[in-house]
Amino acid sequence: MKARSPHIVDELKTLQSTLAEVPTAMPFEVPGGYFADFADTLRLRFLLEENVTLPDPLPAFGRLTTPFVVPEGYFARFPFLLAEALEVSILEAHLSRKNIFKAPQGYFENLPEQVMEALALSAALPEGGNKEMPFAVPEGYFPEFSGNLMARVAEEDRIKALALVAEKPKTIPLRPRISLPVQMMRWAAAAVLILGVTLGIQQAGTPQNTVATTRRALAAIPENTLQEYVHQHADDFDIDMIEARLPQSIFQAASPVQTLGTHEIQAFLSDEVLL
Amino acid sequence: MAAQPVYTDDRALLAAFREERTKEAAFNQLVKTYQERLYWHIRRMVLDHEDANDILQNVFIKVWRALADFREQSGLYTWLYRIATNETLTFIEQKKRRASVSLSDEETDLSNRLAAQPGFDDRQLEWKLQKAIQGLPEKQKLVFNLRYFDEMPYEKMSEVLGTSVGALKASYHHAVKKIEAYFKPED
Repeated sequence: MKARSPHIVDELKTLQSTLAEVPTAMPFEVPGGYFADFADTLRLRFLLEENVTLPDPLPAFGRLTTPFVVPEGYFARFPFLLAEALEVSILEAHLSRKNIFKAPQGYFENLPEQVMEALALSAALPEGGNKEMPFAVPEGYFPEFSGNLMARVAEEDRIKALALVAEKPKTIPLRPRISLPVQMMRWAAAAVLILGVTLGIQQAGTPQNTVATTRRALAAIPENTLQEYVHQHADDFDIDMIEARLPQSIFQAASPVQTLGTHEIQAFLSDEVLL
Repeated sequence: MAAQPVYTDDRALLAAFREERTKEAAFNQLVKTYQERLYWHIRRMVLDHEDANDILQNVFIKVWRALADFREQSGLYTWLYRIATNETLTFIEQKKRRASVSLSDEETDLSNRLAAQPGFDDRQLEWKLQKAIQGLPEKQKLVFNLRYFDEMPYEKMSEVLGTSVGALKASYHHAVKKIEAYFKPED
């Protein structure tokens, strides 16, 4: 064992360590001859790393030369040796393509006769073969089928309806019922009332009420003022519109406009235009 | 078989490596000189021989590819340790990610792997020490191993791990105390 350096021992003593007394020998095992062969192992690794084609046979790198002996030409003969090891029947199947399946004895000799028999049998059958079903059906089954089916449907509907009546459907509320306190209900009612009043006031300003206000304003205008307005603006009125409003008898007698009196025009205006 | 040339120091070895004629022989000597030290440095961290072997091979393949460009700003010894440490930590990290284990599971896993080692006997002091070391955090474990087993000076360790000498001393001190606590019988 190599003697320890006094520096290391002194240092451990300074650290008040007992390790100074512990042996430094490695307890691990190393394969025999590892270090002796390492340089050769490394050289072989270099050859492999550098993609060097290894000479055949490999140079004798000390213990790297394999101690095992292979018979001469072993690798060349290996495929044949392998074939020998395999079962002969399978090998023959692969190599000579011989069929490994067997047919019943005399099958091929009797085959023409069997084919002829089959042909004769098929010729004896009626054209298209016999399509009649050998199974029996109760008499009148098909004619009555539809009626029976409808009767059964009606019966099932009746049973369902009875079941519905017997079993009263359960009403499932869409949302859970919330019971509000009385005070809260009062506040809600007050809010609805205020909303109603507000909407009522707003409704007072709608077009219908505007018409009533206009009517009252026009009533306050003196009649003379209205007559003057009609005289000044008579030409501006639409004659066709006035004619459409008059009875047909007036048109037959004379020109509607000519026959119209001031009173009638005023009445029209007061009924249709101004209102 | 001609005797292999023996390069007396790292400088001579590097010079030989840069010569095509002597390159392979120089590298061979380098491997033979450092393989065991690096192997144990790795093995103490990963525990399994197969893992250690894979990592060690990767380390030397990297060394082969990078040695010609090695600028000798640091010693060859610390440079090799740095590569080995990085490779080991990367391997451990990848293994953790693959297994996606938690910290407590990881410690259990290490204990199980240690217990699976041939000849494991936790009544023996050496195994007990290894078990205590497995309970240390990764970096502390590295510092303890490099100092306790490899007897690496703090200055060199600082080059290897890229940590200040003061921090390394503190780390080693903590590691020793934790291991001491592990050895002390429970009250």
